[in-house]
Order: sequence, then C-alpha cells, then structure tokens
Amino acid sequence: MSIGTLVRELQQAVGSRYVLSRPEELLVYEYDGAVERALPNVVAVPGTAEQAARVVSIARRHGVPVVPRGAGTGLSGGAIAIRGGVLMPMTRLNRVLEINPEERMAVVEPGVVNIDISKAAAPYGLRYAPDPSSQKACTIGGNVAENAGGPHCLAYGVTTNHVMGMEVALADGALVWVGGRQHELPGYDLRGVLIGSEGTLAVTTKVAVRLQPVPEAVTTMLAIFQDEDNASAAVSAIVAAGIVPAAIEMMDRLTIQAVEPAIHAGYPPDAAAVLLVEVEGLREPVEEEALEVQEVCYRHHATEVRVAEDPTLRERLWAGRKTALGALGRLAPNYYLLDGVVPRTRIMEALRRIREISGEYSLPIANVFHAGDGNLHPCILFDERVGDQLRRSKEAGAAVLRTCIDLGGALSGEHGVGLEKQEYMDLSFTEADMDAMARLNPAFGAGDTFNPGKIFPTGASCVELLQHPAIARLGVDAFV
Amino acid sequence: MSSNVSTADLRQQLENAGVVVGADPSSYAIANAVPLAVALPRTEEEVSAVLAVASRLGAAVAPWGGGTRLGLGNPPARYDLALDMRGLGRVVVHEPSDLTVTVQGGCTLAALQETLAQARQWLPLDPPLPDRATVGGVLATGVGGPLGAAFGLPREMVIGMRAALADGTIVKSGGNVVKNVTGFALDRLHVGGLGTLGVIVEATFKVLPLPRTEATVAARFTDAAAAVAATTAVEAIGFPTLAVELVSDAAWTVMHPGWTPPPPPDAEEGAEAVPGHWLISRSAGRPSGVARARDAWAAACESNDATEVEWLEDAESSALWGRITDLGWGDGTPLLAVRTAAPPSKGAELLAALGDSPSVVALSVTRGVARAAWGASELPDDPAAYLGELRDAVTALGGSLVVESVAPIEGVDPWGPPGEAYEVMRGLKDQYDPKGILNPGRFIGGI
Repeated sequence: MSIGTLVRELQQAVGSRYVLSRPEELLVYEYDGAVERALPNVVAVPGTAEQAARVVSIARRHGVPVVPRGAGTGLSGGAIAIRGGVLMPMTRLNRVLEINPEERMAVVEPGVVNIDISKAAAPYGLRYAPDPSSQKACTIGGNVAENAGGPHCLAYGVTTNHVMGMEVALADGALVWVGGRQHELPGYDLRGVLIGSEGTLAVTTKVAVRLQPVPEAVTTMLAIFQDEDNASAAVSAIVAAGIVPAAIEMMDRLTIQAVEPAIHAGYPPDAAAVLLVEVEGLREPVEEEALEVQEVCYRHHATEVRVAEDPTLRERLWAGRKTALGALGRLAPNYYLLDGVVPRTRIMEALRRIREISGEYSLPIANVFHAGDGNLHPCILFDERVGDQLRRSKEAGAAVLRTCIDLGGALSGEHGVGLEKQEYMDLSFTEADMDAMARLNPAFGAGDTFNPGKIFPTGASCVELLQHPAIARLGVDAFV
Repeated sequence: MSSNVSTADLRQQLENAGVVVGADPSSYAIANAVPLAVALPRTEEEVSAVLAVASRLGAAVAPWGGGTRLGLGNPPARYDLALDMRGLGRVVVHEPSDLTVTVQGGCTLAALQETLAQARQWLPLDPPLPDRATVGGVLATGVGGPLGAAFGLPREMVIGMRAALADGTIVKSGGNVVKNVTGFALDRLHVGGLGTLGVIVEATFKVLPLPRTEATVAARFTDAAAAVAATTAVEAIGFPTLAVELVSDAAWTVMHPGWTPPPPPDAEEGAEAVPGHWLISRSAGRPSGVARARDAWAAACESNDATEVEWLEDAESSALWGRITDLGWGDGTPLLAVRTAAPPSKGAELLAALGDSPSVVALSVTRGVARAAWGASELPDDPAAYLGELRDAVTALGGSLVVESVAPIEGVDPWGPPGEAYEVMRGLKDQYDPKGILNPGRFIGGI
C-alpha cells in the first residue's frame, strides 16, 4: 500500500482538513521540547476517541507506526516520529467532559491542557495537583504518557498518583477502560503500567483524574544563601524537622545570575543559591510550619528569608524560578538539560560533583531543580558553533547521569527516557530487567505500532548519537 | 489438585539447591488444597532457586506471607509448593532523611512500622492484622485499610521493587528515589497481582513523618445519608483527614462490648432501637489544625442530626483505629468477607445493598469502598443467593464486588467479571508466567 492510500484512508477517518502530508506542514511536527528531530510521513489529527482508534487501525494495517503527541513540550523526544509513520496530535480532543465535585474527580480528554483542569475545577474549590512547569501548555495525555511531575509533587506525588483511570486505544483499535472512577478495582493495575510508558503501548483517549480541595492558606518563602552547601543542608534539615512542604525548589549561582538581569526578581547578585519553599494547608498549621522553615533556613546561614502569603507576592517569588530556563538563554545559545535524581540527602555531593564535571569539560552547568525530591535539572550550556563544545556537552551529560546513578539515584525523574536517555538505560537496569520490561509490549499486543524506537537501547554508539546532536535553543517558552 | 510432580523430586531438588524444606505442608492449605512441600528460603538467591526448581518441574507455587487473606481468590487450579517468604523478614535500609525505606517481602507490617517509628516516621498503610500481614502479602493483595482515604492504595507508596519472576529471574524496577520515570513501572504488575506474575522479594516505599497529634470524632446517625452529607461538608474544606469510616452499630459493638443502640429519645419505654451507623473520622497533624478539624467534624455531625457525638485524642484515637482496621479480622481471617467499591457518591446505597446480613460493615466514605465480614456462626443461610444479589446491586451502582471466602462457594465467582481489558491481563500472564506456575487459577478471570 502506498503513502497515497494511507493518506486517503486517514482523510476518511478524521476528515481531510485534519490530515497533513505536505513537507512544509510536516516540518512543524519534526521536533518537540527535546533535541532530536525526525519527520513523520503524515500527520492525522483525530477529533474523537473513535477517530483516534481508527487512525491506529489504519496505521497498523499499513505497517507504519503511530506517534501520539500532546503539546510537544516533552524534553526527552517522546513525540518525535523517529521511525516516521503517522504522527497523531491529540490536541483536538480538548474537552473537559465532567467535573464531579461530590466525588472529587474529573473526566477529561487527553488534549486538555494541564492547568485547564484546575481552572475548570476552581469554581468548586478543587484543583488537579500535579503541576509540571509547562502546565500552561502541556496536555494531560502527555502527562499520562510521561508520568509527569512538577514542583508540587513533593507533597502530592506525580501523575500516576492522581489518575484514577483512562480510556485507551490498543494497537488493534479497541477502546478499553483501564482503572475507572471507583477507588478500587480488581485485576492487574494496567492503568499504573501504562502511565509513564511514553506512548509505546497504547494511546490515551480519556482520563479520569482525582481532584483535591484548594488549600485554605499558602505561604511561599524565598531563602537566600551565600553558600550552596548550606542551602542543600537546609533542604534535608526541613524534612528532618518532620515538615513535608508542598514544594522545595533550588537555584544555583549561575541560574541566579541569568535570572536576575532578565526578570529582576530581586535576588542579590552575589547569592550562591536560593531555595523556594512553599507550605500549604489549614491557616494555623501553615503559619507554624512557615516559621519553622524560616528558623531552619536561618540556622543553616540563610542571609535572608522573604515570606509571601498573598497570591501576587507569592507569584513574584516564583517568577524567577518559573522563567529560569528561558533566562539561561542569555548565557549560551544551546543547552543540554538533564533530569537525573538523587536521594535528597545526596544533593550536596551531587552538586559538588557537577561542579567538577563542569570544570573537567570546560562548560558552564546551571542548576535549577526540585530539591525536595532530589530531582536535579543540570543544564549544560554550550555553543554548538564553537569547536567541540557539542561533543563535550554530551560527554559531560553522561558523566552527570553516571554521578546520579553512583549516588543511588535514577536517570530520569519526570521527563522520561524517550530518545534522549535510551543508551544510558543499562546504567540503571540489567539485561534481565529490560527484558522483563520489554515483555509488556506483546502483552498489550502493541508490536511496533506505538512510538517505536524509544526507551530501550538501540545499541547506537556515541559517535552515532552525535549525529543527532543536542541542538536545542533556549527560548522564553522553555520549561523545567 | 496437583500437577504431575513427585513430592520426592520436588523436595530433593529444593534441598539440592540449598533451600530448607518445611515439615508441615498441611498448615499451608488453601481452600482445602494441601501442597506437596513447603520451601523456606532465607535469601533472594534462595527464592530465585526455589522458583527455578518449580519452573523446571512445572510445580505450581503459592507465595505465602502472613496468611491473613487466605479467602482471597479462586481455589488454586494446581498447588504443589508453598513458598513461605517469612524468612526474608528484614528491613534492609531505612533512610529517615530521605523518607524512604527498603524492606524484604516477608517482613511484617508491624515490624516495619516499629523500625520507622524509631525515627518518628510511618508507612501510612493499615490492612488488618499488621502483626502477621507481610509487606509482600499486603502489596500482592493490593488493598489497605481506612488510611486509603488520605493516602490511596498501597501502590501509591511503592517507589521501587525487586521481584522474582516465575523462572527465578530477579527483576528490578523503580529505585530508591521518590521520583523516577526511568523504564516501565513493573512494580505495578505485582501490587494487586496476587503473586500471579512474580514474587515480591523486596519493596522500597516513600514514608512520612508520624503526625504530631491526632483526634477522632465518632458520631452515631440513624440515617446513613446524613452521615455522608456531614462528610461532604467537612471534606470540602481540605482538613487533614486521615480516614472516614461509617460502621454499623454491630461493628461499633464489636469495638465497644456492652454498648447497645439507644431507643429513640421520644419513644415509649421498651421501644425498639432504630438501627444506625457510626461515622468515625480521624484527623492528624499539628495540634492547631487537628483541633480545628475535630471541632468541624463534631459541628457537622451535630448539624446533620447525629444522635451521639464522642471524641478521642492521641493514644485512645489510634487504638480505636487499630480496632477499626481489624474489624472482621479480630479472631483471625474470617470465613467470609466482601470488599465492594463503587463511585463514592453511592456510599449509602452500598450500605443498603449489604443489608444487615454481615456481622460487621464499614464504609470508607470518601472512597466508596465498603468491607463486610461474617463471624463463623453468622454466615448467610444461602451465601450464593445473597452474594449474587449483592453483586447485581453493586454492579447496578457502577461498582465491583470481591468475595473473600476461605471455603469456595459454589456458583460464586470471587472476583466478578474481569472487565474490558481482560485480554491484556491474560497476555501479561502469558508473558510473565508462560508455564502457569504462579498461583494458577486464583486470580481474576481464572488467571
């Protein structure tokens, strides 16, 4: 069957307006928030779950893969059609189908933007907790695929802890529910297995999420440190004091130097690190916790702790954090952003080692990350046009990931493995581990239908990897 | 009931592999089926060796923890070997500052909590009989207790796992960091999988600081819907509620021997008591928040026509919750129990569907999960008919029913229909246990 037949069948399935196949149209779908690029053969944009299932069936009959795509904000290449085929943006499936305040849940289509769930729930005093930094753009379907996190996952957990069930299209085109709106369901937890499977086993067509009450009080604190080690120690000390804040975020000196001229967040230019700590809940305990957090920070030699309770002032304290990645664009044209995790007690060691790696490879590395759960985001800054900086950035990245593993951590905390980290999987997992993971594919009857060529090592050497260089440019819409 | 496996062969090969073979298979009976042998491994390597032997011989294996949920599942299709995991009972490493703990599958929940408590931490997981229930067993059954209202199912707390597959291969997933999306979440297969896809050798959890203080408000309602309304009113505010259970008068009596339901206040002398339920809410955290939550619960109960309101603090409160957790399990595993879940708004209907047949009933109000159990002398006259009607009623509410019966009940499928994705579940079994040696036949749809 030819590409012409494929296109015609897809046009019949979703309507000809929603099938794109001209080269200039496809170009838009060549990249996502990550570094790799590849052109799909055709883009088909379904408007209903049934249409999505039909696209899957058609692609399967033609023996070409389907790559589901949300907003394309992913940072590991999850939405790149590395083996061509049909790219399937889910963004027309963007309706909030139900908000049920009594049961504190919502049913939404996969193309609904993360923050729009909370907006729809707000009139009922409810919200959807996981808040990736890209929450104003990223979709819940993409969040499900990547098991997305965010700053407030410290207290509330990640996507999988908030999704009750999904309707998914399997490779044979069947639409089935996994999980549901009840809190317990006998049978294997297919929901839990699919969340974070990076779109390789099925495509999500509806999502039932848990909602939680918007807290009565929120206090945000910005603690400024002249020494990075003290800031790291304060993170552990807050937790050791029996406090689990909603978020603990950290930015290092390099990040502060980039952010301050861009945002004028009011950070002292000589600060070595800042911590953003947020506590929330009932008014009285929040007041007490906020005082205790301040006390811990001062005990660890914070030079200043700014406290904000009202939404505008809190937003101002967050502004530097939320735009940090974009601001780093002022320092270098390219970046390689990592997502390693270490146990939170090893943050200090990890940051020291990252400083050494920065020196060894003569490349600046900025750190802006979720300190409370040890999820680092080292950002290696370079200029691809200059000498061998590109190669060095890759090597430095590998060294950072090895450091995370050596410290008892993981390759990826919230971005996924995708194309970016697949050749590093063997740092974390044995052949037997990966073989066991690979058996999920036949169990779901997925074959090569969904997003092939991701997660597992392909055996590409480092030289080959460099053919797909980390050429990502920082813009204001870059999130972490 | 057993495969074509010879007891002598099985014992010999286990001994050759250096595994201790237990003396008394009869104490490992499941639904009257007695295994040929019992393996008592002490290390991960030995668990692996046991499964390699079983796989080679095609011997059917039942992983064994505290034996507290023996009523769960179909009778085994085949049963040759009990794999008693209690020899792997260590807390491997507890990192208080990381709020993580790694523990072997055979460790009892109580022993784990004791270790955590030394650092003023806990794993907020409360299945019945924690002194006997093992971590591996609790995860394999996949359900906890009342604390699920605040913390969800056991799966929410697992961040890493080492599991032995059917052929003895040890497979790791996740790790020991609280946030990790590297590779597929294979641990999810084993949590709630009843040991049919692998044996949980080790699990890593995220844990929490113990609440500084706690309080319980218990209020009696003669109208279950009013109790649900009181809950809805309080829960809208986001109080630090750990659990909300609505239990039958009979259950309250189990916990408070000698208590009898009062007659209606304006009734004539000798009038019959109106049956009722107790709404029991548990709040925990800082004293200032707990005090407010306690007052809010009491006020909501009073304004929704509760007939009695009591409150308990700290040690008294947590002791009551120990009894609520064990409801139905107080004398050991009950002969018959059910667990039923529906959309949370259908809670009062779930209670109505259960009726007054069970000895004890408890509804986790915010989750729409009800559990009920029968004492030995109080079983329904015609269990199959009762359970059939109950399943129909629950299904009509959009819910599901799981029956836990120590002896199989003719004509009752303990799990009910396996749902739309059964083919995938079957596919998982074929992939991870192709010879069908792990708890064969016991899971949903005869998996």
